[in-house]
Amino acid sequence: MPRRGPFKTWFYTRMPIHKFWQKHYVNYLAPKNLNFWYVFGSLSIVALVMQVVSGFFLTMFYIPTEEQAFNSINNIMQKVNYGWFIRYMHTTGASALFIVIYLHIYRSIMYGSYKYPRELLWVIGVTLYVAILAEGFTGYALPWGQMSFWATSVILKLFGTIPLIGKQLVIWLQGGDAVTGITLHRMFAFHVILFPLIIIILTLIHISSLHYVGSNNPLGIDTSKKDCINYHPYYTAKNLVGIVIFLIIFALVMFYKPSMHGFFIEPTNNIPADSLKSPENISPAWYLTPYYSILRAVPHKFFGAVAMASAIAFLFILPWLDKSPVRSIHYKGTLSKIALLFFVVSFLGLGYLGTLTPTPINIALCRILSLIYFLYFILMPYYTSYEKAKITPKRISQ
Amino acid sequence: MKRFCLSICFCLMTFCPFIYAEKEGLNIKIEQTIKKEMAGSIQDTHQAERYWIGAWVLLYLAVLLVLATLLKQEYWKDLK
Repeated sequence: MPRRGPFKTWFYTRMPIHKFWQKHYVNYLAPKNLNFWYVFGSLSIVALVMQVVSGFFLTMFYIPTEEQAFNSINNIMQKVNYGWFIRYMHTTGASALFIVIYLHIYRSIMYGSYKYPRELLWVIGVTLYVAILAEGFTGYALPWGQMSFWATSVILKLFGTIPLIGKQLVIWLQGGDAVTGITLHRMFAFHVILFPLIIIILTLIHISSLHYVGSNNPLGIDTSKKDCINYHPYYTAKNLVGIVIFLIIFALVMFYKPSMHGFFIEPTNNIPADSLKSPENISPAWYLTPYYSILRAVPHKFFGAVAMASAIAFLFILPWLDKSPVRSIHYKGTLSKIALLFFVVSFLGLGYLGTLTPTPINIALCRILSLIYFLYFILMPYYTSYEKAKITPKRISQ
Repeated sequence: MKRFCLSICFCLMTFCPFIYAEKEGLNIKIEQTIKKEMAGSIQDTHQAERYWIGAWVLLYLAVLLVLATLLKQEYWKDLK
Protein backbone atom coordinates (compact mmCIF):
# COMPACT_ATOMS: atom_id res chain seq x y z
CA MET A 1 0.00 0.00 0.00
CA PRO A 2 1.67 3.29 -1.06
CA ARG A 3 1.97 6.04 1.54
CA ARG A 4 -0.31 8.97 0.89
CA GLY A 5 -0.36 12.54 2.16
CA PRO A 6 -3.27 13.88 4.23
CA PHE A 7 -4.98 15.49 1.25
CA LYS A 8 -4.82 12.33 -0.88
CA THR A 9 -6.07 10.23 2.04
CA TRP A 10 -8.96 12.66 2.60
CA PHE A 11 -9.77 12.73 -1.10
CA TYR A 12 -9.51 8.98 -1.80
CA THR A 13 -11.65 8.01 1.18
CA ARG A 14 -14.42 10.11 -0.33
CA MET A 15 -13.75 9.62 -4.03
CA PRO A 16 -11.89 6.37 -4.82
CA ILE A 17 -11.12 7.46 -8.37
CA HIS A 18 -7.71 5.78 -8.18
CA LYS A 19 -9.44 2.39 -7.90
CA PHE A 20 -11.32 3.07 -11.13
CA TRP A 21 -8.08 4.13 -12.79
CA GLN A 22 -6.25 1.06 -11.51
CA LYS A 23 -9.02 -1.31 -12.57
CA HIS A 24 -9.71 0.09 -16.02
CA TYR A 25 -6.28 1.21 -17.08
CA VAL A 26 -3.24 0.15 -15.07
CA ASN A 27 -4.33 -3.34 -14.05
CA TYR A 28 -6.52 -4.08 -17.05
CA LEU A 29 -5.22 -7.33 -18.52
CA ALA A 30 -4.91 -7.43 -22.28
CA PRO A 31 -3.70 -10.36 -24.41
CA LYS A 32 0.01 -10.00 -25.13
CA ASN A 33 -0.33 -10.66 -28.87
CA LEU A 34 -2.39 -7.58 -29.83
CA ASN A 35 -1.00 -6.27 -33.11
CA PHE A 36 -1.10 -2.80 -34.71
CA TRP A 37 -4.75 -3.22 -35.73
CA TYR A 38 -5.64 -2.81 -32.07
CA VAL A 39 -4.33 0.74 -31.90
CA PHE A 40 -7.36 2.14 -33.75
CA GLY A 41 -9.59 1.94 -30.67
CA SER A 42 -7.21 4.22 -28.77
CA LEU A 43 -6.79 6.41 -31.84
CA SER A 44 -10.55 6.94 -32.10
CA ILE A 45 -10.51 8.28 -28.52
CA VAL A 46 -7.60 10.57 -29.40
CA ALA A 47 -9.46 11.81 -32.50
CA LEU A 48 -12.65 12.27 -30.49
CA VAL A 49 -10.86 14.37 -27.86
CA MET A 50 -9.30 16.48 -30.64
CA GLN A 51 -12.77 17.06 -32.08
CA VAL A 52 -14.19 18.12 -28.72
CA VAL A 53 -11.32 20.54 -28.07
CA SER A 54 -11.27 22.09 -31.56
CA GLY A 55 -15.10 22.16 -31.62
CA PHE A 56 -15.14 24.04 -28.32
CA PHE A 57 -12.92 26.79 -29.75
CA LEU A 58 -14.87 26.93 -33.02
CA THR A 59 -18.12 27.41 -31.08
CA MET A 60 -16.63 30.57 -29.55
CA PHE A 61 -16.56 32.24 -32.97
CA TYR A 62 -19.24 30.46 -34.98
CA ILE A 63 -22.67 32.11 -35.31
CA PRO A 64 -25.46 29.62 -36.12
CA THR A 65 -27.77 31.90 -38.09
CA GLU A 66 -28.67 31.85 -41.75
CA GLU A 67 -27.16 35.30 -42.31
CA GLN A 68 -24.02 34.90 -40.24
CA ALA A 69 -23.00 31.21 -40.35
CA PHE A 70 -20.98 31.36 -43.57
CA ASN A 71 -19.46 34.76 -42.74
CA SER A 72 -18.46 33.57 -39.28
CA ILE A 73 -16.58 30.64 -40.83
CA ASN A 74 -14.87 33.12 -43.15
CA ASN A 75 -14.10 35.26 -40.14
CA ILE A 76 -12.57 32.27 -38.33
CA MET A 77 -10.40 31.57 -41.38
CA GLN A 78 -9.30 35.16 -41.99
CA LYS A 79 -9.31 37.17 -38.80
CA VAL A 80 -9.37 34.95 -35.72
CA ASN A 81 -5.85 34.27 -34.39
CA TYR A 82 -4.98 30.77 -35.58
CA GLY A 83 -8.62 30.32 -36.60
CA TRP A 84 -7.48 28.42 -39.69
CA PHE A 85 -5.63 26.03 -37.36
CA ILE A 86 -8.73 25.35 -35.26
CA ARG A 87 -10.98 24.90 -38.29
CA TYR A 88 -8.59 22.64 -40.20
CA MET A 89 -8.05 20.62 -37.04
CA HIS A 90 -11.80 20.10 -36.83
CA THR A 91 -12.38 19.31 -40.53
CA THR A 92 -9.36 17.01 -40.78
CA GLY A 93 -10.25 15.56 -37.38
CA ALA A 94 -13.74 14.60 -38.56
CA SER A 95 -12.33 12.62 -41.46
CA ALA A 96 -9.54 11.17 -39.32
CA LEU A 97 -12.09 10.01 -36.76
CA PHE A 98 -14.06 8.18 -39.42
CA ILE A 99 -10.94 6.62 -40.96
CA VAL A 100 -9.84 5.18 -37.61
CA ILE A 101 -13.40 4.05 -36.83
CA TYR A 102 -13.69 2.25 -40.17
CA LEU A 103 -10.33 0.56 -39.56
CA HIS A 104 -11.44 -0.33 -36.02
CA ILE A 105 -14.64 -1.90 -37.39
CA TYR A 106 -12.66 -3.74 -40.08
CA ARG A 107 -10.35 -5.19 -37.42
CA SER A 108 -13.36 -6.32 -35.35
CA ILE A 109 -14.84 -8.08 -38.38
CA MET A 110 -11.50 -9.58 -39.38
CA TYR A 111 -10.77 -11.06 -35.95
CA GLY A 112 -14.41 -11.88 -35.11
CA SER A 113 -14.55 -9.51 -32.13
CA TYR A 114 -18.35 -9.48 -32.41
CA LYS A 115 -18.71 -13.19 -31.55
CA TYR A 116 -19.54 -14.66 -28.14
CA PRO A 117 -19.18 -13.18 -25.52
CA ARG A 118 -18.78 -9.77 -27.16
CA GLU A 119 -22.10 -9.44 -29.01
CA LEU A 120 -23.36 -6.62 -26.80
CA LEU A 121 -20.01 -4.85 -27.02
CA TRP A 122 -20.37 -4.96 -30.81
CA VAL A 123 -23.97 -3.69 -30.75
CA ILE A 124 -22.97 -0.78 -28.49
CA GLY A 125 -20.07 -0.07 -30.85
CA VAL A 126 -22.34 0.02 -33.92
CA THR A 127 -24.77 2.31 -32.06
CA LEU A 128 -21.81 4.55 -31.28
CA TYR A 129 -20.86 4.51 -34.97
CA VAL A 130 -24.41 5.58 -35.94
CA ALA A 131 -24.28 8.41 -33.37
CA ILE A 132 -20.93 9.55 -34.83
CA LEU A 133 -22.41 9.42 -38.36
CA ALA A 134 -25.26 11.65 -37.13
CA GLU A 135 -22.73 13.97 -35.49
CA GLY A 136 -20.79 14.14 -38.77
CA PHE A 137 -23.92 14.84 -40.78
CA THR A 138 -25.15 17.64 -38.49
CA GLY A 139 -21.67 19.18 -38.47
CA TYR A 140 -21.53 19.10 -42.27
CA ALA A 141 -24.58 21.41 -42.37
CA LEU A 142 -23.01 24.11 -40.18
CA PRO A 143 -20.71 25.99 -42.63
CA TRP A 144 -23.88 26.78 -44.60
CA GLY A 145 -22.09 26.54 -47.91
CA GLN A 146 -23.71 25.26 -51.08
CA MET A 147 -23.00 21.59 -50.37
CA SER A 148 -23.96 21.93 -46.70
CA PHE A 149 -27.34 23.32 -47.66
CA TRP A 150 -28.19 20.90 -50.46
CA ALA A 151 -26.84 17.76 -48.79
CA THR A 152 -28.83 18.65 -45.66
CA SER A 153 -31.97 19.12 -47.78
CA VAL A 154 -31.53 15.76 -49.53
CA ILE A 155 -30.75 13.75 -46.39
CA LEU A 156 -33.45 15.34 -44.23
CA LYS A 157 -36.07 14.62 -46.89
CA LEU A 158 -35.23 10.92 -46.53
CA PHE A 159 -36.79 10.93 -43.07
CA GLY A 160 -40.07 11.73 -44.83
CA THR A 161 -40.15 8.16 -46.16
CA ILE A 162 -40.64 6.76 -42.63
CA PRO A 163 -44.26 5.55 -42.46
CA LEU A 164 -46.73 7.43 -40.21
CA ILE A 165 -44.31 9.83 -38.50
CA GLY A 166 -42.06 10.70 -41.46
CA LYS A 167 -43.65 13.97 -42.57
CA GLN A 168 -43.97 15.33 -39.04
CA LEU A 169 -40.41 14.30 -38.27
CA VAL A 170 -39.07 16.19 -41.31
CA ILE A 171 -41.04 19.31 -40.32
CA TRP A 172 -39.64 19.05 -36.79
CA LEU A 173 -36.06 18.54 -37.98
CA GLN A 174 -36.28 21.36 -40.54
CA GLY A 175 -38.29 23.66 -38.28
CA GLY A 176 -40.75 24.19 -41.13
CA ASP A 177 -41.55 23.06 -44.65
CA ALA A 178 -38.10 23.80 -46.06
CA VAL A 179 -34.47 23.95 -44.98
CA THR A 180 -33.91 27.44 -43.52
CA GLY A 181 -31.97 29.19 -40.80
CA ILE A 182 -34.16 27.38 -38.24
CA THR A 183 -32.86 24.06 -39.60
CA LEU A 184 -29.31 25.35 -39.24
CA HIS A 185 -29.93 26.26 -35.62
CA ARG A 186 -31.39 22.82 -34.93
CA MET A 187 -28.43 21.10 -36.59
CA PHE A 188 -26.17 23.22 -34.39
CA ALA A 189 -28.06 22.12 -31.26
CA PHE A 190 -27.77 18.47 -32.31
CA HIS A 191 -24.11 18.86 -33.19
CA VAL A 192 -22.87 20.59 -30.04
CA ILE A 193 -25.20 19.20 -27.37
CA LEU A 194 -27.19 16.07 -28.11
CA PHE A 195 -24.90 13.89 -30.20
CA PRO A 196 -21.64 14.71 -28.33
CA LEU A 197 -23.42 13.77 -25.10
CA ILE A 198 -24.68 10.51 -26.60
CA ILE A 199 -21.23 9.76 -28.05
CA ILE A 200 -19.45 10.33 -24.73
CA ILE A 201 -21.95 8.17 -22.81
CA LEU A 202 -21.80 5.39 -25.41
CA THR A 203 -17.99 5.52 -25.46
CA LEU A 204 -17.90 5.00 -21.70
CA ILE A 205 -20.41 2.13 -21.94
CA HIS A 206 -18.42 0.64 -24.84
CA ILE A 207 -15.17 0.70 -22.83
CA SER A 208 -16.86 -0.64 -19.67
CA SER A 209 -18.40 -3.43 -21.70
CA LEU A 210 -15.00 -4.24 -23.26
CA HIS A 211 -13.33 -4.38 -19.87
CA TYR A 212 -16.04 -6.70 -18.56
CA VAL A 213 -15.71 -9.31 -21.32
CA GLY A 214 -12.03 -8.65 -22.06
CA SER A 215 -10.22 -7.91 -25.31
CA ASN A 216 -10.26 -10.29 -28.23
CA ASN A 217 -6.93 -11.04 -29.95
CA PRO A 218 -5.71 -11.74 -33.50
CA LEU A 219 -6.02 -15.50 -32.95
CA GLY A 220 -9.58 -15.10 -31.70
CA ILE A 221 -9.06 -17.54 -28.84
CA ASP A 222 -10.04 -17.24 -25.18
CA THR A 223 -7.13 -16.14 -23.04
CA SER A 224 -6.05 -16.98 -19.51
CA LYS A 225 -4.15 -14.65 -17.18
CA LYS A 226 -0.89 -16.25 -18.32
CA ASP A 227 -1.50 -14.96 -21.85
CA CYS A 228 -2.20 -11.42 -20.70
CA ILE A 229 -0.14 -8.43 -19.64
CA ASN A 230 -1.02 -5.19 -17.88
CA TYR A 231 -2.36 -2.56 -20.23
CA HIS A 232 -0.10 -0.04 -18.58
CA PRO A 233 2.82 0.39 -19.23
CA TYR A 234 3.03 -2.14 -22.09
CA TYR A 235 0.16 -1.02 -24.29
CA THR A 236 0.53 2.59 -23.20
CA ALA A 237 4.04 2.53 -24.67
CA LYS A 238 2.95 0.58 -27.75
CA ASN A 239 -0.07 2.78 -28.46
CA LEU A 240 2.03 5.89 -28.01
CA VAL A 241 4.00 4.94 -31.13
CA GLY A 242 0.73 4.49 -33.04
CA ILE A 243 -0.62 7.79 -31.73
CA VAL A 244 2.50 9.69 -32.83
CA ILE A 245 2.38 8.09 -36.31
CA PHE A 246 -1.29 9.05 -36.50
CA LEU A 247 -0.45 12.62 -35.48
CA ILE A 248 2.29 12.82 -38.13
CA ILE A 249 -0.14 11.79 -40.88
CA PHE A 250 -2.76 14.09 -39.37
CA ALA A 251 -0.33 17.05 -39.34
CA LEU A 252 0.77 16.33 -42.92
CA VAL A 253 -2.85 16.54 -44.11
CA MET A 254 -3.88 19.40 -41.86
CA PHE A 255 -0.96 21.69 -42.69
CA TYR A 256 -0.29 20.77 -46.30
CA LYS A 257 -3.51 19.35 -47.84
CA PRO A 258 -6.45 20.27 -45.58
CA SER A 259 -9.05 19.95 -48.33
CA MET A 260 -7.62 16.55 -49.37
CA HIS A 261 -8.55 17.05 -53.02
CA GLY A 262 -12.11 17.97 -52.08
CA PHE A 263 -12.77 14.92 -49.92
CA PHE A 264 -12.36 16.61 -46.53
CA ILE A 265 -13.53 20.09 -47.53
CA GLU A 266 -15.63 20.27 -50.68
CA PRO A 267 -14.77 23.21 -52.97
CA THR A 268 -18.52 23.77 -53.48
CA ASN A 269 -18.84 24.37 -49.76
CA ASN A 270 -16.59 27.42 -49.98
CA ILE A 271 -19.47 29.22 -51.72
CA PRO A 272 -22.39 30.55 -49.64
CA ALA A 273 -25.63 28.54 -49.67
CA ASP A 274 -28.07 29.46 -52.41
CA SER A 275 -31.52 27.89 -52.12
CA LEU A 276 -32.32 28.78 -55.76
CA LYS A 277 -29.27 27.20 -57.39
CA SER A 278 -28.36 23.58 -56.68
CA PRO A 279 -24.83 22.26 -57.36
CA GLU A 280 -24.32 19.85 -60.26
CA ASN A 281 -23.60 16.92 -57.98
CA ILE A 282 -25.06 16.82 -54.49
CA SER A 283 -23.28 14.43 -52.18
CA PRO A 284 -22.76 14.25 -48.43
CA ALA A 285 -19.37 14.02 -46.72
CA TRP A 286 -17.21 11.08 -47.86
CA TYR A 287 -17.88 9.00 -44.72
CA LEU A 288 -21.60 8.88 -45.59
CA THR A 289 -21.18 8.22 -49.30
CA PRO A 290 -21.22 4.37 -49.13
CA TYR A 291 -24.77 4.56 -47.77
CA TYR A 292 -25.64 7.40 -50.14
CA SER A 293 -24.58 5.19 -53.08
CA ILE A 294 -26.90 2.44 -51.86
CA LEU A 295 -29.70 5.02 -51.74
CA ARG A 296 -28.92 6.08 -55.30
CA ALA A 297 -28.75 2.47 -56.51
CA VAL A 298 -32.43 1.89 -55.74
CA PRO A 299 -34.77 3.75 -58.12
CA HIS A 300 -37.65 4.00 -55.62
CA LYS A 301 -37.19 6.64 -52.88
CA PHE A 302 -38.83 4.64 -50.08
CA PHE A 303 -37.06 1.37 -50.89
CA GLY A 304 -33.81 3.28 -51.37
CA ALA A 305 -34.14 4.62 -47.82
CA VAL A 306 -34.99 1.11 -46.60
CA ALA A 307 -31.89 -0.29 -48.34
CA MET A 308 -29.74 2.45 -46.82
CA ALA A 309 -31.09 1.75 -43.32
CA SER A 310 -30.67 -2.01 -43.89
CA ALA A 311 -27.01 -1.49 -44.77
CA ILE A 312 -26.44 -0.29 -41.20
CA ALA A 313 -29.01 -2.66 -39.65
CA PHE A 314 -27.07 -5.67 -40.98
CA LEU A 315 -24.06 -4.52 -38.96
CA PHE A 316 -26.14 -4.80 -35.79
CA ILE A 317 -27.07 -8.43 -36.40
CA LEU A 318 -23.62 -9.52 -37.62
CA PRO A 319 -22.85 -11.58 -34.45
CA TRP A 320 -25.85 -13.79 -35.15
CA LEU A 321 -25.14 -14.18 -38.85
CA ASP A 322 -21.66 -15.61 -38.39
CA LYS A 323 -22.02 -19.34 -37.71
CA SER A 324 -18.32 -20.14 -37.85
CA PRO A 325 -16.94 -22.08 -34.85
CA VAL A 326 -13.84 -19.84 -34.84
CA ARG A 327 -13.51 -16.09 -34.47
CA SER A 328 -10.40 -15.00 -36.33
CA ILE A 329 -10.07 -14.81 -40.10
CA HIS A 330 -6.76 -16.72 -39.69
CA TYR A 331 -8.67 -19.92 -38.90
CA LYS A 332 -11.71 -19.40 -41.10
CA GLY A 333 -12.01 -20.99 -44.53
CA THR A 334 -11.25 -19.48 -47.93
CA LEU A 335 -14.89 -18.50 -48.53
CA SER A 336 -14.88 -16.18 -45.50
CA LYS A 337 -11.64 -14.58 -46.66
CA ILE A 338 -12.97 -14.00 -50.19
CA ALA A 339 -16.28 -12.68 -48.80
CA LEU A 340 -14.45 -10.22 -46.54
CA LEU A 341 -12.33 -9.04 -49.47
CA PHE A 342 -15.45 -8.47 -51.61
CA PHE A 343 -17.12 -6.66 -48.70
CA VAL A 344 -14.20 -4.26 -48.32
CA VAL A 345 -14.00 -3.63 -52.08
CA SER A 346 -17.76 -3.03 -52.28
CA PHE A 347 -17.71 -0.60 -49.31
CA LEU A 348 -14.76 1.39 -50.70
CA GLY A 349 -16.25 1.33 -54.20
CA LEU A 350 -19.62 2.55 -52.95
CA GLY A 351 -17.88 5.29 -50.99
CA TYR A 352 -16.02 6.50 -54.07
CA LEU A 353 -19.03 6.27 -56.38
CA GLY A 354 -21.10 8.29 -53.91
CA THR A 355 -18.85 11.30 -54.49
CA LEU A 356 -19.27 11.16 -58.29
CA THR A 357 -22.03 12.45 -60.55
CA PRO A 358 -24.78 9.81 -60.92
CA THR A 359 -24.23 8.80 -64.56
CA PRO A 360 -25.89 5.57 -65.87
CA ILE A 361 -22.55 3.70 -65.57
CA ASN A 362 -22.02 4.90 -62.02
CA ILE A 363 -25.55 3.91 -61.04
CA ALA A 364 -25.05 0.44 -62.57
CA LEU A 365 -21.79 0.05 -60.62
CA CYS A 366 -23.56 1.23 -57.46
CA ARG A 367 -26.15 -1.52 -57.95
CA ILE A 368 -23.52 -4.23 -58.44
CA LEU A 369 -21.52 -3.13 -55.41
CA SER A 370 -24.68 -2.73 -53.28
CA LEU A 371 -25.62 -6.28 -54.18
CA ILE A 372 -22.16 -7.53 -53.14
CA TYR A 373 -22.42 -5.54 -49.89
CA PHE A 374 -25.75 -7.15 -48.96
CA LEU A 375 -24.74 -10.62 -50.15
CA TYR A 376 -21.83 -10.54 -47.71
CA PHE A 377 -24.34 -10.45 -44.86
CA ILE A 378 -27.15 -12.51 -46.37
CA LEU A 379 -24.90 -15.41 -47.36
CA MET A 380 -22.82 -15.31 -44.18
CA PRO A 381 -24.81 -17.98 -42.27
CA TYR A 382 -24.33 -20.35 -45.22
CA TYR A 383 -20.67 -19.95 -46.10
CA THR A 384 -19.53 -19.73 -42.47
CA SER A 385 -21.29 -23.00 -41.58
CA TYR A 386 -20.37 -24.73 -44.88
CA GLU A 387 -16.63 -24.06 -44.93
CA LYS A 388 -14.18 -26.02 -42.81
CA ALA A 389 -12.40 -24.01 -40.13
CA LYS A 390 -8.80 -24.66 -39.13
CA ILE A 391 -7.97 -25.87 -35.62
CA THR A 392 -7.18 -23.01 -33.27
CA PRO A 393 -4.37 -23.18 -30.70
CA LYS A 394 -5.36 -23.60 -27.06
CA ARG A 395 -3.04 -20.84 -25.91
CA ILE A 396 -1.46 -17.73 -27.46
CA SER A 397 2.08 -19.00 -26.88
CA GLN A 398 1.29 -22.40 -28.43
CA MET B 1 17.61 4.24 -15.39
CA LYS B 2 17.18 4.18 -19.16
CA ARG B 3 13.39 4.10 -18.75
CA PHE B 4 13.52 7.06 -16.41
CA CYS B 5 15.69 9.09 -18.80
CA LEU B 6 13.42 8.28 -21.75
CA SER B 7 10.34 9.27 -19.77
CA ILE B 8 11.93 12.59 -18.79
CA CYS B 9 12.93 13.24 -22.43
CA PHE B 10 9.42 12.42 -23.56
CA CYS B 11 7.85 14.83 -21.03
CA LEU B 12 10.25 17.60 -22.05
CA MET B 13 9.48 17.07 -25.73
CA THR B 14 5.78 17.31 -25.00
CA PHE B 15 6.17 20.74 -23.43
CA CYS B 16 8.64 22.12 -25.98
CA PRO B 17 6.10 23.35 -28.54
CA PHE B 18 4.09 25.11 -25.86
CA ILE B 19 7.17 26.94 -24.62
CA TYR B 20 8.06 27.76 -28.22
CA ALA B 21 4.57 29.04 -29.01
CA GLU B 22 4.61 31.21 -25.89
CA LYS B 23 7.95 32.72 -26.85
CA GLU B 24 7.71 33.05 -30.60
CA GLY B 25 4.04 32.70 -31.50
CA LEU B 26 3.25 36.40 -31.46
CA ASN B 27 6.37 37.38 -33.42
CA ILE B 28 5.70 35.23 -36.46
CA LYS B 29 5.71 37.51 -39.44
CA ILE B 30 5.75 35.83 -42.79
CA GLU B 31 5.06 37.31 -46.14
CA GLN B 32 1.89 35.77 -47.49
CA THR B 33 2.31 33.82 -50.68
CA ILE B 34 -1.37 33.92 -51.40
CA LYS B 35 -3.36 37.01 -50.64
CA LYS B 36 -6.80 36.98 -52.01
CA GLU B 37 -9.50 39.46 -51.26
CA MET B 38 -12.55 38.12 -49.48
CA ALA B 39 -15.01 37.91 -52.35
CA GLY B 40 -17.93 36.05 -50.83
CA SER B 41 -16.17 32.71 -50.65
CA ILE B 42 -13.97 31.16 -47.95
CA GLN B 43 -10.32 31.85 -48.74
CA ASP B 44 -7.22 30.46 -47.12
CA THR B 45 -4.86 33.41 -46.79
CA HIS B 46 -2.54 31.79 -44.26
CA GLN B 47 -0.87 29.26 -46.53
CA ALA B 48 2.72 30.36 -45.91
CA GLU B 49 2.22 30.47 -42.14
CA ARG B 50 0.49 27.09 -42.28
CA TYR B 51 3.40 25.49 -44.13
CA TRP B 52 5.96 27.04 -41.83
CA ILE B 53 4.22 25.96 -38.60
CA GLY B 54 3.56 22.56 -40.17
CA ALA B 55 7.27 22.01 -40.68
CA TRP B 56 8.01 22.63 -37.01
CA VAL B 57 5.13 20.47 -35.86
CA LEU B 58 6.36 17.61 -38.06
CA LEU B 59 9.90 18.03 -36.83
CA TYR B 60 8.69 17.86 -33.26
CA LEU B 61 6.56 14.79 -33.99
CA ALA B 62 9.48 13.08 -35.70
CA VAL B 63 11.61 13.46 -32.56
CA LEU B 64 8.67 12.34 -30.47
CA LEU B 65 8.33 9.25 -32.64
CA VAL B 66 11.96 8.29 -32.03
CA LEU B 67 11.50 8.67 -28.27
CA ALA B 68 8.17 6.80 -28.29
CA THR B 69 9.76 3.94 -30.26
CA LEU B 70 12.68 3.74 -27.82
CA LEU B 71 10.27 3.80 -24.89
CA LYS B 72 8.21 1.01 -26.42
CA GLN B 73 11.30 -1.11 -27.14
CA GLU B 74 12.53 -0.58 -23.60
CA TYR B 75 9.32 -1.86 -22.04
CA TRP B 76 8.64 -4.68 -24.47
CA LYS B 77 12.13 -6.21 -24.41
CA ASP B 78 11.21 -7.79 -21.05
CA LEU B 79 8.42 -9.73 -22.68
CA LYS B 80 10.44 -10.93 -25.64
